[in-house]
Amino acid sequence: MRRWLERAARHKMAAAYALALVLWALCALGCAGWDAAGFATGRLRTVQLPLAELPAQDIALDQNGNWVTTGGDPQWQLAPDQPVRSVRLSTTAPAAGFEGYYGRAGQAPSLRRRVWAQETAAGEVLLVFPLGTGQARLDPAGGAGVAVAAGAGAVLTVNAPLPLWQYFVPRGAAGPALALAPALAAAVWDLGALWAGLLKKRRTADTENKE
Amino acid sequence: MGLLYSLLSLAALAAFSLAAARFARLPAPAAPFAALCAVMLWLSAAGMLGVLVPAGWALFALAAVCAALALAPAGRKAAREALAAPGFAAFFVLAAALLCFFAWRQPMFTTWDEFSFWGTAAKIVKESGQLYVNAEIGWDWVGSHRPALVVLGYFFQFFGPYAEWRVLAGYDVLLLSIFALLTAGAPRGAWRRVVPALGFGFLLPFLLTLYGNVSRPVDLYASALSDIPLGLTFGAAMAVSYADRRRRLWPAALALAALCLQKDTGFAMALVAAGILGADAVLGALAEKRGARAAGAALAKAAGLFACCGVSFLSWQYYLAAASTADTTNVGGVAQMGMAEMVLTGCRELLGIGRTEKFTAVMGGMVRNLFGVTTTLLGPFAVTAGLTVALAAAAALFTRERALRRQAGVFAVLGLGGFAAYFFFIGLTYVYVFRSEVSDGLIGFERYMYPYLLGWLLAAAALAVRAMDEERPAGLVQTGFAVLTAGLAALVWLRVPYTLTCFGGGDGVYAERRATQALAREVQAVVPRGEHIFFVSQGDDGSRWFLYTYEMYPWYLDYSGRTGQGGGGTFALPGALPEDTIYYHPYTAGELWAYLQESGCRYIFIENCDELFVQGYAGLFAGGLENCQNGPAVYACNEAAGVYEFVCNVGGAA
Repeated sequence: MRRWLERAARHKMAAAYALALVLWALCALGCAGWDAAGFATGRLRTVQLPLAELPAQDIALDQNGNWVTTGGDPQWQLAPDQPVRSVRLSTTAPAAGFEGYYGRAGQAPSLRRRVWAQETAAGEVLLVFPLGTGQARLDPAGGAGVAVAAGAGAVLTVNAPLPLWQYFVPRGAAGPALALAPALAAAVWDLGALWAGLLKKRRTADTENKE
Repeated sequence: MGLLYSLLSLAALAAFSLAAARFARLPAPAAPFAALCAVMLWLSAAGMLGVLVPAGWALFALAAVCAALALAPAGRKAAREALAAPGFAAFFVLAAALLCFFAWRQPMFTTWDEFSFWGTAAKIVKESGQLYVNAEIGWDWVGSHRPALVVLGYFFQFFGPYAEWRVLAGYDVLLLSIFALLTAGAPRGAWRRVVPALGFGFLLPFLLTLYGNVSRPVDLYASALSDIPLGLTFGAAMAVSYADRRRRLWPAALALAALCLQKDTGFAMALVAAGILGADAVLGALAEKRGARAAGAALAKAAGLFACCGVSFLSWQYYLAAASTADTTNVGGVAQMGMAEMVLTGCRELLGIGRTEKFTAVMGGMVRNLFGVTTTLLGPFAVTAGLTVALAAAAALFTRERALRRQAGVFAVLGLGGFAAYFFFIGLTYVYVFRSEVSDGLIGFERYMYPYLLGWLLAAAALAVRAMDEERPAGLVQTGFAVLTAGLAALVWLRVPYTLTCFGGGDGVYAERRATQALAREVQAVVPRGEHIFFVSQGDDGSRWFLYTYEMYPWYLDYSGRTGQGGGGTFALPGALPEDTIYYHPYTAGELWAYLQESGCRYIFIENCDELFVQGYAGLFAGGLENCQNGPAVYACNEAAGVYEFVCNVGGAA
């Protein structure tokens, strides 16, 4: 163990990133396990919410039965009686335009709590939210006149089970944290080692002076 | 494949850097920056001589030779030593990661100036293999901006197809090389120095170009504009000298020459940097009592720095004079003055001789802005100036190295003087060059000032990092700088949401660009290359015309209007709109037809049609303009029938 620590101390940056990757993997597995337990116990349920029943802004059903944006800030609000982990929607609009805002129940939307949609299949977008999301807001393609879903009976699928690899994708602030935190940790570790050495040197010098 | 080709360019840069570290004994972390400056100078000169492509091949051939030397048994030791320098290794890891990230993320140009020049110039150089000055493009003027940054983007996409992300990545690799040279003195494993140094550099553009709580997407690190690279290169020209314990000036000379070829204002900044470095060299020789010969040599080197600036600056002037019709002596503007006349007149007014009300108002406003207006995340620009002087003072106070104390003192004093001179120069441009609607509100004040402050603060950080080598008491400067950087990082994190940056943002910000790109491709598919296309987008303020000029190139989008009044706008019959309506083209149908024939525009691309255009010019189109109701449309000239005939709708309306 001591040898490992000495080796790690000689290669602090590599050790910090290696540790970060291991912790990230454990975190991802932990989240996957937590969700699996949630599905097993009923804490999480896959539900389909009709778009017609969701509080909406700047989105309306047109005469052709398509959901079309009518203003500059189209959005659907989701506040189901369960945590929100994912939202899937079949759509004719490009996935690039979709974004999701998340937060605890009652929390106002924030640019800091935002995720981007992925296209999982032709015509389907997926948004994945972090643990602890009590409410979410789905913003489809901005601007008026964009058709985002077809059919009066179109639905959102909330909390469809995610494939395991999705848990390993950093979202939101997790991205910069994974990229930067190990470097910061290595720097702090190195600074701590510097001060430990300086203090040891001073103690030794003090001891020698007393003698 | 674009990624692989750009990584090849990065590998070439690595080969040059290893050669510089081995043969020139340059500190390894400073080598990539020096190599990039040399690349910019080489390709700029080649472009001016009309041999850009052969020069590019020669550059990569030289890179192959350097790589062979580095990999040969005799060169491996030097290569290992270079790689052991944490800043050197970190630079190439970060640069490669950036290229991979941009290849996946595909950032695009988003601002007016990228389409009015910087991005379009990059595309022209790549597509034509020549500089942009005499390009076949519908500009009504000569593209006279300097080429160093444009050819930098060309270096990173010399092989493979043109791509905006490759241009943007090239700029960012230059910035990374500047941040890396701050780590030049850090020994192996000293992450307590390397991480704060890299972090400090990375944070600078956020700190000095943004203010308040940011709520809109920012294009930092995904922009082809020149201001940030210009400012950081100015700082790096000094930092590369401060990072070298041998205090050689040739890397700084390379950087200054490159700076003078980045933008016109780079020359003023280069003179300031040359003055600071030259004064330091001469004072150093005198202070260290190395004799008259050494002092003379230092003076000669200082003069050499100024000579490099002059040669570099003038080379572009001479090239423009020879290659184009641009008037390179007149700074233009409302006063139509030459540069020297502007400075002399300004100095006279400063001394109270013939001072005008405009001079007083502009200078007073600038001073108020400097101290009282929040223009950065740190507050007013004066706070940035104060932080710069404080860093230099800390470097001077907390080092045992006498030479560094002197360098920091010279830097602080002359840097302040240089800032005052630069500040005054910008004020003169507001007084004598810009229109009153710009000078009254000091429009763009922040944009003209922050390049100097970016570089000045970067150079001060280089001094502080150098002070860590022989700091007193031990650990103070390293800890203080790390804490400062952590504080600045927290400030940026709190003020700039990650999802508004190019690193965390979504693709939605490029949705409109992708739509116009797709539309331009459809137009190119139906118009033969070499044909001139007239552009109509009613209500355009020029931005749509610039955008499509860029998107369509190398297809030729005509200036689409009379000299000085084209490049977008609203076409309508005389009297249909008030005469002073901005971008109003009052053509009769006959005048428009005559223009179309004279300009050789056999195709018309109507992006946006309105009632005014229909009322005025429907007679020029077979069947009227009914097809424009379906969306953007392309028309082709039928000379025999004397009308333009409908070709197709584009952009989803087809």
